[in-house]
Amino acid sequence: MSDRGSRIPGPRLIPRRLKLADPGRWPIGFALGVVLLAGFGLLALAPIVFDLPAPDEMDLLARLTGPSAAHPFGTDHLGRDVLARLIGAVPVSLGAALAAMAAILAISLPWGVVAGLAGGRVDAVMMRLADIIMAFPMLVLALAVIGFMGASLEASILGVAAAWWPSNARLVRALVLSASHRDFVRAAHLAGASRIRVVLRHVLPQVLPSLAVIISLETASVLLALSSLSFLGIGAQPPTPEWGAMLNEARPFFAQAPHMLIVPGLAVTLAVLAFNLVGEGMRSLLDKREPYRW
Amino acid sequence: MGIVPEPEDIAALRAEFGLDKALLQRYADWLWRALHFEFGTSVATGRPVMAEIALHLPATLALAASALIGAIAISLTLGSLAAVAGRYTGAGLRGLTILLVSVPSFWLALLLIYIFVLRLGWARLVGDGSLTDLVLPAITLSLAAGAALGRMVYERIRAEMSEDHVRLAIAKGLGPLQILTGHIAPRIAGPLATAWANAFGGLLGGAVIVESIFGWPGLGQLILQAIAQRDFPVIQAYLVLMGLIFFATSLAADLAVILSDPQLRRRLGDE
Amino acid sequence: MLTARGLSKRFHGRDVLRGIDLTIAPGEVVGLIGHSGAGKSTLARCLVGLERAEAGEITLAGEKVVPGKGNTRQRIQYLWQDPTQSLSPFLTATGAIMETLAGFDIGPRAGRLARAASLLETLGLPRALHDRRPHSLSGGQCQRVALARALAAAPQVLILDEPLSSLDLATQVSTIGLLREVHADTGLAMLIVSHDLAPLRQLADRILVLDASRVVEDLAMVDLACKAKHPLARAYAATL
Repeated sequence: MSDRGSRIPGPRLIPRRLKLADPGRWPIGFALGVVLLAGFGLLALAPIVFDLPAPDEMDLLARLTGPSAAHPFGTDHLGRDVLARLIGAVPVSLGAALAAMAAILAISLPWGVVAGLAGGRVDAVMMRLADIIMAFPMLVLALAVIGFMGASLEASILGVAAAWWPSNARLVRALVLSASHRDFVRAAHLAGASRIRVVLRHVLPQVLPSLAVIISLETASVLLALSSLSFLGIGAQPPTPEWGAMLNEARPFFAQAPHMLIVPGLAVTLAVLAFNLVGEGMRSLLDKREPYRW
Repeated sequence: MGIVPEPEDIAALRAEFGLDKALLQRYADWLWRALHFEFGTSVATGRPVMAEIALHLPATLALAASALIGAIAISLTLGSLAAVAGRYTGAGLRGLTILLVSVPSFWLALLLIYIFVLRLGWARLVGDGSLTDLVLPAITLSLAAGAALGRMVYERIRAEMSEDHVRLAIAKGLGPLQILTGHIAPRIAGPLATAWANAFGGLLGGAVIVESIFGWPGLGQLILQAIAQRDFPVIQAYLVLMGLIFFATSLAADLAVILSDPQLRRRLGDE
Repeated sequence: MLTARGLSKRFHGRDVLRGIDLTIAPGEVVGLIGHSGAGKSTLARCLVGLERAEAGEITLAGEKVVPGKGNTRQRIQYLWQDPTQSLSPFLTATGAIMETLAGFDIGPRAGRLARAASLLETLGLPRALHDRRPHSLSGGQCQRVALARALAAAPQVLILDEPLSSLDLATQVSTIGLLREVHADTGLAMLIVSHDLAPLRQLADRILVLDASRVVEDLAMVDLACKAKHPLARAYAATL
């Protein structure tokens, strides 16, 4: 959760990007991650195509039943179809993670870019402010924010965003700093490009590949945090279908109905895994150092 | 006090919680008292916040510390195995690492409970806070952190293996173990110590989840209750205290790095 | 045209420039020679504002200026040592020239594309290569694009930092020819930094010898062989 600094490769020159067309370079893990993500995308669309019971439709006569033809993943303690709830949770769980990630980027991108380009005192002040927030363990800070706002999915998104953005801003700053010291960036400024143009046309394109890696890995960690909070009962509130919240509801019954435990947990794991695999795959593409072998 | 509170009662309550003063003064008062670890009384229980926290803090620290030890052991094993392993074993170990990082600790905990408590009966769920009851929560908490740190150990070793001094060592005919312990370990110890200290912060936060599942009597229970009851003094004290502990760990790691690095030590000695 | 008085700079507690005086007359080509580490590149970088001198002043056409600021950025242009590193990998040859034309608002907007194409062609980059990015151009071709970009700004002084050192021998010869042509056509004042006297002999009117952060000799090129007094300048003259 906290060792991200070394995992992110520095900006690379563009010629390396040309090699991406070579399919042999794409690792299996990356392909698996993309397939998983696409699978979740299709799953979210499933209710439009197939006729599924509503996620909160109760059938009190069929409580805690195991997998059957009518209910492929069984039913929960209120007789709701676990598959329907699982699918209904895709937009909630993934949507929350993407919303949190968007909020994190909305703060950390401008913060990191301005600090990295301004340098000097502005940079120092901005980074000290980020350090103050980073002095708290991330999940602890998120808990505190939720504590002050009151438990809800929105509060948990804001709490996670508030706790996660500073480390993100640090990474962005480091990337921008090394990208803006390239000869061609300074050359473009001397040759007449305005500051805005230098940033948009010469600095950001360098940073984008590494940024994609960061975003993918961060989304994985944010998704994990948000579903943990929902599991603790201080994120998504029942009856909203959300994977972590589903597991929380399953806790009293999991000796009788283990299927309630397996399915949502697997969903969280696979979604987090997908983002991690995509991030790691892109990273290994960018990082071409070859170690010496014995 | 009746159902409808009398104005005097409200005034007394406001005075007790300091709500009758100006915002800035309230903040200054709070900061002054926070510096003395006085966070007032819990709104929910009426007992002093510090007393509540002192009751639960040792359990959380014990859990986080044992999880850290576990995570360090796991990370060193996974990381160095992945670095020296052949192509396919290495890829398998890295895959395992990514998988472990991706499994949510709350699900892992439930699975472990299902297997070890309900099926095998090797551990019990409702314990008395003794050391044997710590094993399962500590393992749960350490697996993901250990995997994440293991990935970092692997990265560091791999980066060092791209350096010329390692090529020289290979050329001299040294074995993998000698190179790992003699040439690579001293150079990566410092950054790893810092990473371990940072991981402690993650474990303190993660402890909340694990404690809530295993019923471990740590701060996690207290804070979840405080969030549900909107018990602000407890939340404040928890935030400040966790920040302090995290800060102290990082400081200790930084000092250890400086003291163990002969170059830095010499420079400090000169000044 | 361009004068510097008493330029001084320290870096990591070491003097890299000590009271440098330098004058470049309009249309004059001045060569700056010295060992590596003598401060040549730092001096060149101070003159375009890539680094800041701690003391001294710079005047351009009689008025005091701060290099890299205001319209001085346009009036003093710079050619980097490694053209492949100084051209953005994100822009085509035409794009690089257009960036300068638009950035300095040179000429009517509608004519800029044609202007960029003709400038690149004048400098010997065939039309077929105009839409290529630096990584699919050779070092010599990149050098031509970089030079075209510097000229597109319509500067009054051009500063070239080791313009030949990253090129192979054949390209060095053609680049020297190109620079002579450019000077003949534009009459631009130039300062050429080099560690090697041979190209300066073909290009420079006057030569400055830099040693241990000071200018130790300032002579017309033709006088170098007979009038040089400083041992380093004499050593260079002996290589002719």
